[in-house]
Amino acid sequence: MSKLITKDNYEEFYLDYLEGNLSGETLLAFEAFLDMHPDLRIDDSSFPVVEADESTFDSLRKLALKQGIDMNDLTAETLDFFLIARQEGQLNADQEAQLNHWLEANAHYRQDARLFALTTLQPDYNEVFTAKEDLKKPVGGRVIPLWTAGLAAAAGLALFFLLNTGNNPVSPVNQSGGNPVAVEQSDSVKERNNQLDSANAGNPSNASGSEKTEKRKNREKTFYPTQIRHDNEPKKEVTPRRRVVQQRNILQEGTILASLEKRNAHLSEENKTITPLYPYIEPSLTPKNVDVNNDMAAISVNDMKNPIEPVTSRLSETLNRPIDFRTAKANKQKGGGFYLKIGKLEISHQTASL
Amino acid sequence: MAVLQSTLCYMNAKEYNNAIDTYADNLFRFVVKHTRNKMLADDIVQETFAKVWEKHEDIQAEKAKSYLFTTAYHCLVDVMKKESRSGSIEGIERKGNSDTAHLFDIQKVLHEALERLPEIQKTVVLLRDYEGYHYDEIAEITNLSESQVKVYIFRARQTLKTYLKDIELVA
Repeated sequence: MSKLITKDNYEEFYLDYLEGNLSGETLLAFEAFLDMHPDLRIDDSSFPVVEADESTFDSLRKLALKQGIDMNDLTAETLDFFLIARQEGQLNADQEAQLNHWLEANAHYRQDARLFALTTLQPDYNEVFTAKEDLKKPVGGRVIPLWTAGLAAAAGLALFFLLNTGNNPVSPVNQSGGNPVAVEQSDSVKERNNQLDSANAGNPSNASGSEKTEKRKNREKTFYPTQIRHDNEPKKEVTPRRRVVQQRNILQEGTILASLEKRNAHLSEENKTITPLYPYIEPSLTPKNVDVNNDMAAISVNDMKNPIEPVTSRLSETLNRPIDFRTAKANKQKGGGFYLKIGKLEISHQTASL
Repeated sequence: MAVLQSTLCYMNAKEYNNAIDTYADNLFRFVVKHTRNKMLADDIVQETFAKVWEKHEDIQAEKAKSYLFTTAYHCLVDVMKKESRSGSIEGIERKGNSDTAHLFDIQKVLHEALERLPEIQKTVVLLRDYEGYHYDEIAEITNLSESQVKVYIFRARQTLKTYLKDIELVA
């Protein structure tokens, strides 16, 4: 024996000793150890031993676990399984015939067969749930999916902008950003009116400042008749009216610039010594078809140059519209000015020579 | 018998209402057999439909019945646990058999016998006999294996048969 039995390890020998697995010198050594330490000895009768009982796995469960039904399993002990299987509709015609044949041979089991046939429960149809209507949900209500809500929001925004940009003249969009061309051209008209004032006066130095101011006021009143009407008439609650400014009209027909041009021509005939101080602008003026102006003070658009060519090129690509911008400084021989064309929109301005 | 539209689409309000018409009574009978309390059964059926409506967009219309019975069974288990703790069910139980007096005698005895079955056996045999569910469907509703369902049904039938036999011997 290679291992010494001590109080620290005697348990591992004890189990083998009780089960009779110790032999030879190990057995002798362990018995000598127990003699030396009688307090460690265990009474054999108090040592618990679990013994298997006679119970077996349930025969019904065994049959239920099987796949399919084997009629060879039919015995008096398993009869309930087959009777229930018939009641459950699990037997085919052949199996049912075998069962009936077995029952004929064992008549005292017929009562069991009859009772099993009665074990199917029938519902009581008088028992009903009475609160059905309370549980029902309304049918046919419109279900608005989320995407339609988004669409509605977008439509609302579009309507908002449409109304604000179209019919509300007091809105900031309309006043400032809505018609930038009209504002710009109105300012230029005023400027030209001022120039006309100077020209019509013949000798500007003779005209007093107060007279100029008066004339300007009158002329401005001419261009803004609605203001005159409002000043003279009792104040009414006026429905804001949309201020219609059509770019095409400005550029092609009946424009303020065109009227100024006519007036200038008329004045030139009356007093040929007066040099027109405002620039001559052809409505259909383009760099290609512009005529060479006989007036030495005026500068042709062809003589203008684009000082910011990369910027306009890039802007043209970004906006996907042709942009032409040219400018020239006034000198002693010729006047200056600028020419800007964005898509169909053209704006130009010229100044007199120095 | 109204039948739910067998489409692949999910349950909408109309199909939900059809399910109420079609299955509410079945659910009620199934539940009341367990609770033996009609008011409690009403509550469970109502709760079942409320839960189904919460999930109706995820439930295929053709599987509505199975979903309803599964939900009802889970509600039932929860309620039975609570009620058995408080003992309220026991106070009502087994008094109301006069309600079944109109039934044939055999069915009356059978329903008396049903009261003696363990709850799980009662559940599976009711689903089997009342609703005609197959074993696999009952297994799905009750979260049991198919063989467990089979065993419970067989045991329930044995108990019912034994009860009938005892009554017959007494008579």
